[in-house]
Amino acid sequence: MPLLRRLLTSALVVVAASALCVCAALASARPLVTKGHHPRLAIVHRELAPVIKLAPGDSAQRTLELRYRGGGRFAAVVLRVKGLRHSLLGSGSTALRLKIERCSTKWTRNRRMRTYGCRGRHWVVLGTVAIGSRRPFRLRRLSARAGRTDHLRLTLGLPLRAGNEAEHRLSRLVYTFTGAAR
Amino acid sequence: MTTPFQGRGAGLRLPTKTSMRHFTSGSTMPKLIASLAVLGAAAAIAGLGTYATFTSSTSASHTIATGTLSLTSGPTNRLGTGASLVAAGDSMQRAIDLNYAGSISFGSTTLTTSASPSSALDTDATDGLHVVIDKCSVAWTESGPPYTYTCGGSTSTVLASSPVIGSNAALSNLTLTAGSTDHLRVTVTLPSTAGNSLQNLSSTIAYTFTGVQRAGTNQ
Repeated sequence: MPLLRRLLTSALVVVAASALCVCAALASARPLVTKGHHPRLAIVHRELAPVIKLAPGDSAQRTLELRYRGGGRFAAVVLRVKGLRHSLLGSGSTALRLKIERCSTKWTRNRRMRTYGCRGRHWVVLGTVAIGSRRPFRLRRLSARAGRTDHLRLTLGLPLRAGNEAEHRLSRLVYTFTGAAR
Repeated sequence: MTTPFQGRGAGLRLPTKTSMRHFTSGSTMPKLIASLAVLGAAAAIAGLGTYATFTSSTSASHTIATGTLSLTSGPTNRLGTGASLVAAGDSMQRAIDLNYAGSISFGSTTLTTSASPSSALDTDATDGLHVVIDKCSVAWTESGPPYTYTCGGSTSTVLASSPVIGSNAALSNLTLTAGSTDHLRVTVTLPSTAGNSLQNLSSTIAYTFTGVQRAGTNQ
């Protein structure tokens, strides 16, 4: 009799554990199955115009359209910049600086000044940061909602204190935007 | 018949059974803990599944390149040619081409001169050697030696008359644009006011042109 009770208890435990595991599997698999119900990030023009002949004190502005497809919204979006790990442009006082702003409408290009202006509402998404490290930067004030597009302006700058050692350097920067649903 | 005492007596065997139960009870504890651990692990997996984060990534890229700043001289450079037997009131002309060879334009250029060996010719700021620098829009036409130069285009003053030794003297009217060349003529004069104390002296003058990049701009 005690043996039977123990067997029943063990079976109950196994069944309960199995049920929980099945629930877990269903819960984590659901986003993959119903992909369209979750937001996805996309950039239309992934190849930005190159920045050449940069000198200390110079800045370069580039724009990109960050689109949110699918459904729902992202709770957070982070940016990682790769390509400067072994470059002098990514270390110390000579490290490139990056600032990201968002405009509620498309950025308007000023060809003469080589800058972009905003005719709508304007937000700072990422304050000026040195982009030498690989740490992710949390982006703020994005719409992050499916069906929307964020018009972003990236401003790169080489600090004035960068000396002759920063001359004639070439790097390929990769900006990776990652959104987390929750 | 069993007396109560005997009954109790028979019951005296119970402690033995009780101790066995205690033993049995001791072996159940690990199983209970193991069962709880299994349930806990399953619950944790379920929890992770419930809170699994769905992420999406996209990327963009471009190249970024810094420019170069390079100040060179030539092909014309007569500054290495000396002058001897200079008398008060004499002047010497030498031409030099200044090239802005890098990919970045200059914002300004300065001239620093030093003397080694030195003499009163360069230390006497009043009666010692003085220098003037002019620029020609085209290459200077040379004649000599002794060298003299004429300009087939337009001339402008780069450095007004000043003592031959100076530090970071600002030069004006230079082109400074990347890829361009300024044609300069350096005229060194021993003033007519130079007295006998400046006779039979010798100085070697070194000219150092230093350029600084243009101001920061948008690229």
